[in-house]
Amino acid sequence: MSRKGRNAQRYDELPYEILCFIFDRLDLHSLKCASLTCRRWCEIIFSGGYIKRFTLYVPLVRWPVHVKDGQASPFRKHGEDAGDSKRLFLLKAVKRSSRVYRNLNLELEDRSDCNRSASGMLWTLFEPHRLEQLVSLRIVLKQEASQLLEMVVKAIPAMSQLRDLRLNGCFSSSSLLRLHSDTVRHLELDTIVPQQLEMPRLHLLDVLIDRSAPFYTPAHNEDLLYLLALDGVKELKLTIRPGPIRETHRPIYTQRFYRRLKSLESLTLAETSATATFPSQQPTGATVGNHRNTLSRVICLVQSPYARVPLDRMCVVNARYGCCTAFFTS
Amino acid sequence: MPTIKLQSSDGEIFDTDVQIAKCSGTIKTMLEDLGMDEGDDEAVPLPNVNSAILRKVLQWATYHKDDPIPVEDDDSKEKRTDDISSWDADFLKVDQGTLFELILAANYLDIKGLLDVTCKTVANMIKGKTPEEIRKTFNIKNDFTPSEEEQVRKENEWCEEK
Repeated sequence: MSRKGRNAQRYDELPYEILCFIFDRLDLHSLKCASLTCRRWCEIIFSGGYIKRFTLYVPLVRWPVHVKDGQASPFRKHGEDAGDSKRLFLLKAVKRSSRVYRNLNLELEDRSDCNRSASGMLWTLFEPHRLEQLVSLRIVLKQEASQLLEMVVKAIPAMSQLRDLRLNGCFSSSSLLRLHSDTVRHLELDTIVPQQLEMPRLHLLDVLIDRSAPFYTPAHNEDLLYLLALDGVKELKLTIRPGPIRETHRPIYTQRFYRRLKSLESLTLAETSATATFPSQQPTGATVGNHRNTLSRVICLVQSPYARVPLDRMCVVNARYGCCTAFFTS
Repeated sequence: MPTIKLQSSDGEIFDTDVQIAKCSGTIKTMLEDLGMDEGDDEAVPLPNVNSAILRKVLQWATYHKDDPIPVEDDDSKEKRTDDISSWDADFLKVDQGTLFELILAANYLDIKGLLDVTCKTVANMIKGKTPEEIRKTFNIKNDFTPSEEEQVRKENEWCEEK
């Protein structure tokens, strides 16, 4: 070879910081393709710097009936789809993986016949060295999944770097949920509301109450919210999606709830339109009434202890009518 | 206009405008630390850059000598690559070997703008290619065993955007 240093022109051997400079400029798909070219690139892409950009999605749903050595039992139930083999590969891949993910998206669904492999997967994902690196965790309940959910919730206190936690779903077992974390700063709840919440560093709480969700009952969802003590929360967003079940009126709960928001700086109340699940639901006066109720109640509640509750900004948003009112600016 | 002498790895001397030479953080520091002045006959040795590449680098630095200092952004998100000027794009129509050496030279000489635009060019060449095409383009040796490669491929399928 006439050209000097042909061997030196191997892009896989570029200095680490230059490769990072290049990878910074790649979209996720290209980053994945780049990770498949050679070991070094793969190691860099899935080490601390870049793995932050990925979320591992793990659907613990409809697992094959029996999993042994990565082989699905031939006695599969009729109707189980090609997704099974994809999920089997996921199980194998995760068990062999050396990557330590920062972001995890878990979809849980209980099925008595699949529970074992699903919990096996959780054990792998929740090995101590992986747990302590998790920064963001999203849990979606597709169906009643009390055992799996309990496993996940028990692991949360050990996630010593967890900042973001999102919970989504609405099932009866969820009402017994107790959430503890010393590190979570951002909590998002979609309809599911824990019975107990111990998060001293919680900064932002974003709650969506979907009154049209299946299994929704005020007692298991909305009322629980008003029982939470959120002394340290600085920002609260509460969105209501109207449904056939009206809110319960327990003014004592709500009053106490708002009075206990001692550190609140920003409050956003919003109401979204009814979901497609209930197409018959009309945007009638009932909805507006509900909204006005919530609104006026909060104003009344906030006014009396106003001297003690420094509200930076209070915002009431009604998505349907496009009006937005800011009440307090201090 | 004050000039200084730069010496490439293969011994060629380049008489260069001080202002242009100081685009390079490395040369700037050398001049300041060693107290070298214009008019000094001594050449600044650049043992990591050959004459062909140094000529290209100086061509780039001459064109960009009045550019503002690029601002550092430490955003961990994907950075844009579609903002390469047409002059730079023409300038970087070179073979992979030259591009590779330009990157190393920009890094060694600490020329942020050149490093930025060369890395962007590489990123653009990676985008839209299959792993095999990337290897071919950049002369990368596949050192995965088939099962390791399969593992990466399968695991990647479950990786989503944050």
